Amino acid sequence: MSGRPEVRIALFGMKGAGKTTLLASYFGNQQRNAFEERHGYRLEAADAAQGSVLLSRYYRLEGGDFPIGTDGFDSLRFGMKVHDLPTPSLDVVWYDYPGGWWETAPSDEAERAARREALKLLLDSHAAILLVDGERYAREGMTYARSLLDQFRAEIRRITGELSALGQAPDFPEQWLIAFSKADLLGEGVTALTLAEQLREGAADQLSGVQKAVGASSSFGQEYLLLSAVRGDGRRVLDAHQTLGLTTIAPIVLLGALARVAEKTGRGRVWGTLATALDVLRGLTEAVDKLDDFLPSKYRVLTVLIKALRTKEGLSVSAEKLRERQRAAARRGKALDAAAYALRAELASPGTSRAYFKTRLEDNG
Amino acid sequence: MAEPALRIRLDDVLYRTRGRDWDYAFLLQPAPLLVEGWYALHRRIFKSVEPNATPCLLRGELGVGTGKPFFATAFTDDARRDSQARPIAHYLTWLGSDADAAPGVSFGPGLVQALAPALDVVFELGAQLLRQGELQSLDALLRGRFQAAIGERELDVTAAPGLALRWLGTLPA
Repeated sequence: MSGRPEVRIALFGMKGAGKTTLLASYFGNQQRNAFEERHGYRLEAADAAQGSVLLSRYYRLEGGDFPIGTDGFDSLRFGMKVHDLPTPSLDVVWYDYPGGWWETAPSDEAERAARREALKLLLDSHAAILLVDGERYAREGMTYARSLLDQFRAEIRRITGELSALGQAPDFPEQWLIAFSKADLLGEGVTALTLAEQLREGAADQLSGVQKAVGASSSFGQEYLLLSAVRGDGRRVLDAHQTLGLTTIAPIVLLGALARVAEKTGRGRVWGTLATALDVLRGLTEAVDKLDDFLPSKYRVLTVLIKALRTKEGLSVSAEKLRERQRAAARRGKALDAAAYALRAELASPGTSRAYFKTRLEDNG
Repeated sequence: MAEPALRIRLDDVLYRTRGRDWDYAFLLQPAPLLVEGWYALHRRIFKSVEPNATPCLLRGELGVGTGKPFFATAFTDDARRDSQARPIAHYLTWLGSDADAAPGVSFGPGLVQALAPALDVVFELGAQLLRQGELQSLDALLRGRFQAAIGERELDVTAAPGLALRWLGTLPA
């Protein structure tokens, strides 16, 4: 543990949904010199050996091939190191749950124990992402989406049973994002909003089933992301540097915490596209000083960062302007301010608004 | 120059791979060293390995009892691909004194070639059979079919000159 603020994200998806490619691209692209020059920060792997494995997967992507399917659960910790600062300001931690766990029983007691340890980390996550395979969705449509959601509900119920047997309350994360992977195969006009509308119309019963399974207060079925880890044709990688949505994940998790504060303080529901959501959150900027009073305890380590993320501006401030502020904060040695500006700049980047949508609670079917 | 041959007892081999539709499973397992089984030890051996077409070679010792030497290898198989058209990986751990005494040669592709008829029996098992596998441990089901298709329990395996070999030291149980 580094003692730095950290955003913890649990990633679920069936095998082949794109988890390994997503994490390899997430790390690899944010290592590139061109990325650092443009964005003013880069990621560092906390575990050098793990970073080396991720990089070898990323080089495979750059060579045109998708990485091989992985075996087992992984916990991946990345430090976000803003240019001009000596150490990372923030850690982003990913918990990668193998798709095969949905389908098979553990092979032995050791694997059963490994699964139990992984479940504990799920409960301690700030947000969870369910990855929908965009390629399969494009090919099989709602039949695939319904089947995925039904299988996921069964998996959540199995996890709940495991936790109950251990005497633990199944206290799942409140923020759940449904993320469509392989957005490069879905067409230019597709947005998180259009996919949210399709899913809520065609799989309302399944969404409601999972939402009940993960907890009535969860945001499951309300938040949607569109992600692309590379540009490819389904079999080969055509451009490993062309991505969508990856750098918005951490700031969206922090925005989720802010949105919860808005709701708990009676300042309205945060919903809509990214621009709308930020607009709603503007009203919160000066109003709530004691965020700790309204945030679940596991968010408290992030309070300082969330405060720094509060801003009077919506998406009207350009990414470039925010990056200037990021550089100025870094020069003054204000590590958290610099990280917050870097995250805000990601939200303001062109293309990002296509990648996120949150529905209103009252729209729930 | 003739390729060296190794004689390998399958009871000394821990073999994990995946099929076209099924996820990673143990197809060969020696008698367990620990009551909880092999999974954690397997993960520890291959913790920092990303298999590719060139087999990596790993030597070390499992810190169980008085120590158990191993000689392991992992590599991808371009001929066998999963349902996403990705090459599958083979993870082989050869345990015991024979493994310890073996020269540092690449034995993995030769061993998989010798096991190919049995692997072909299980590799393409379909989704319906996999659903039945939910009722019991899937890899027990696959392992049963795989082992039933193996003739000899000791195989002569051709080996190729090994490239860089990594020494992992003693891995804790």
